[in-house]
Amino acid sequence: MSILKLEGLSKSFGGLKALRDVSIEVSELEFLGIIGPNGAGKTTLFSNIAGQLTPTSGRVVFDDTDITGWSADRVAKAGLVRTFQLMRPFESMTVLDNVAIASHQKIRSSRQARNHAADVIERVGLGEYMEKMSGTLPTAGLKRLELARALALEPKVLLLDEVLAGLVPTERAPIIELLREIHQGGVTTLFVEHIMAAVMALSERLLVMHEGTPLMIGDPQEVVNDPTVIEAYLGEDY
Amino acid sequence: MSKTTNFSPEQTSAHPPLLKRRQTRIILATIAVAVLLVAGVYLLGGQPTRLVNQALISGVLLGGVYALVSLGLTLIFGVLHIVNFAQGAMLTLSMYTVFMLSTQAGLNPYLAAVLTIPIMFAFGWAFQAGIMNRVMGDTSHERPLLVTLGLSLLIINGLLMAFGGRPAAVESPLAGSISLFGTLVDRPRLIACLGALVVGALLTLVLRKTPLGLAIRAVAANDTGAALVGVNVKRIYAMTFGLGAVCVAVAGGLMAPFTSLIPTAGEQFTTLAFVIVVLGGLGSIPGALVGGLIVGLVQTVGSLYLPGGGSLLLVFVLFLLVLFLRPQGLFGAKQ
Repeated sequence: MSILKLEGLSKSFGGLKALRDVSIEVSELEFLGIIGPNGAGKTTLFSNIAGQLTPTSGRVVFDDTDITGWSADRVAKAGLVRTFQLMRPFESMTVLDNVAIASHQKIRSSRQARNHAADVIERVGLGEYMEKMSGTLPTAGLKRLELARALALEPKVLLLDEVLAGLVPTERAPIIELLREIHQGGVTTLFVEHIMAAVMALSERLLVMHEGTPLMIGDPQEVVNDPTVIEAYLGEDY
Repeated sequence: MSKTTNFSPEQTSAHPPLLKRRQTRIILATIAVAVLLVAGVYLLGGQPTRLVNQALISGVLLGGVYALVSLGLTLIFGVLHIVNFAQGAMLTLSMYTVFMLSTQAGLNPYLAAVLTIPIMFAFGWAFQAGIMNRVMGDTSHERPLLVTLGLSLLIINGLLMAFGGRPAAVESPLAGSISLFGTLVDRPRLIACLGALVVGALLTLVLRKTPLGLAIRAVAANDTGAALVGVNVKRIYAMTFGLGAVCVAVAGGLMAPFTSLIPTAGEQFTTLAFVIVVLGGLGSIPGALVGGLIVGLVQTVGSLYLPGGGSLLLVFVLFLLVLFLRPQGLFGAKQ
């Protein structure tokens, strides 16, 4: 059963067509990797799904509901949550407060929301930073915080935009493990990433975007071994 | 990473936090300068001690009310990043609301002031939700700014049409003076200052402790991030404008008994509140409180030497001095 369906999604900025007729279906509990060169429209795709941008044409259907043109907060509350490549923490607030805001969208009681937030923070491994100002976290900590805020909304679908960017290789492994746990906990995941080792380790299907449109989608091994994909999008280093 | 900074190098933000925890040094420095200046006035000022006492107490009372008006302005700026040019006119509107409720409906002015709170909240909320949210976009900060200017003109001229330009007055049932530290203190002014402090404390509590406050601080820090975690940013904008209006509602309600009521009565407060807010740091709540007290004190103590409008001159000299030494304001974030 598909939980997220894109039907002919297009987005133009003036004369520039950032997305052209994107139609894909994502099955429930799937882990879909998304790759493509810079400017292929990966982030624009996420923004049009999650409500930061409104599509020029086409439809976004999430959990059998047409959510095309919904505002970002409404999409997030419905259970379709994205993260940004550049993190958006509330710097002058504690880690706990950062996550509690998300918990409050689901839970009315202040105490329960804080307990819920604390559980999520423990889960992503930030327990010892609970009362620290989020602005003082190192990059890897901010990535975990971004994930915690997303998880606190109890998402059905996560759109992860380059969560591994800016991390050194030793920091990546635990985050990759965390992503695997989140996915296995029952969250459908769309994963935009440049780090191919992570993409290949996690993805069940792989989508290649090129000039705003899907070039190929399918089994990750088959996709990365496809001659056109190798030639045009992975370059010589893969 | 150093503990004194809330900002990591790659995540610089131009928006100061509404409430900030580590500001002890600035507070101590401000107090030290203030104490030195006051001591200077007492010892070398050449004025009778009794007069200086009187000026200090008046200054604190005046400053409390200034702080409340500025609190609304800084809250709105901190969250919406817009200077509300209608702050003064909204103050006047609150005073006329109290005037109407007390003279037409015969209510006690202080009860009328309490009733003005929900009225002004609804006014601010509706203005933001109905008009401002439509003109606020990513592209332009001028449009919403001009809309607040328009609202200001609308209110002032609407009041002129309805009430004319002749001064009106609200009679306080608590008029009179009490003796404090050997000086006479006007009771309505004392009540106004205490009321301002109570509302300031309540507002801080709301921002620190409630889910709404959490959401408001989140939007102030990063509106994109707030929407990402499910916060309805436009709703928070409307609530914030409503709370900003509540500040002037309380200030207006409490000031009405000792203000000569004309449709432009609040106008000077737009400028003064702006000076206070920039002095304290745009978007900072402690900044507005401290700034209000400083300006109040400078104005009253200054009037010992420069009677009449001359004391305002000192306020602006101080303003320029602070801008020169600390451009981000006393409690503002470095940009």
